[in-house]
Amino acid sequence: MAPYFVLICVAVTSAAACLVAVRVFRCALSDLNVALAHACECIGFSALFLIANIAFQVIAVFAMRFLTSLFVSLYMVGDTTLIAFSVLQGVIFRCWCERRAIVGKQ
Amino acid sequence: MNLDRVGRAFGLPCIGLFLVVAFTPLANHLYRWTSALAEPGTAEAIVVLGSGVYGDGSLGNSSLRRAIDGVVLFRERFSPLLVFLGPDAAEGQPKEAEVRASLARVLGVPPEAILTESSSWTTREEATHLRKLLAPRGIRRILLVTNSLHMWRAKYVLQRAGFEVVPAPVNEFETKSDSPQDRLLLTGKIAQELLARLYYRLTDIL
Repeated sequence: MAPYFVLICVAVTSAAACLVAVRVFRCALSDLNVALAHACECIGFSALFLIANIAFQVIAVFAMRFLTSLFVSLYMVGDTTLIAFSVLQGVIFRCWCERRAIVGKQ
Repeated sequence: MNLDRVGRAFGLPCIGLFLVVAFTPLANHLYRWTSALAEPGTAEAIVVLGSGVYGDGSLGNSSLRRAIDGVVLFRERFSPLLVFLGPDAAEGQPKEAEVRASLARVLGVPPEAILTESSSWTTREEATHLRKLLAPRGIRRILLVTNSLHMWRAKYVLQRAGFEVVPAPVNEFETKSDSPQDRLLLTGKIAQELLARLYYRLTDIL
């Protein structure tokens, strides 16, 4: 039941947003695939940032263990906030690159 | 370098993976393949591995479950000795093993049947310190209490330390849920444990 509840909710709000975009903001439906591609790129960069952040954390934990007398647990690496920060990094990076492309064209 | 392509090359598989993990029973199947089953049997000692204590001295959920399971096994006469492990959250704060021992005493376990070890931070350290604690008492066969995902690694390390291990796994996760959030959390735990197993294997080889 739970997965369907989530999916139905997302489908309904997506359809409503689609309607608002087309009717109110006069967005072209044909541009939707471009938006999806951009979203996909944002997610891809976020994933790369997540991998880099986790790799850095692992190295930092081992460095602290070997260079100091502190014990730092590897379980610290799985912090959920890292996902949110990685998404933020990915989106900013994607927007920045797009800005570079726009300025380049001008 | 085409950055858009790089982003898309990682983005599409990520979306696919997210949908498969959250909306299919993959996580539930993965859990069944990677977790240990109970093999009930008597032993010379019940060993309850550490899991975590809060700064105020109260046990974490997982620690409490393990402690209770240890006490239940003791009360059901699987072994005459109960060993609790677990350090403090920070210096000067209550030690997990001591907090669990207090709980066991309140639940009717005689003080002379309880041993504690509070200086281990990793599974490997727990095995080394347990050996120092139990070998002089001639104890080899232990009933091991830890979570069902951690059991494989803990058993591996303790067997290498010379113990004969009887697994008594504790289920600390929601494993049959169809909730996307539960499935994502479970997959995260499985991935974390599989990486830990790989790390233990590699460090043993090196």
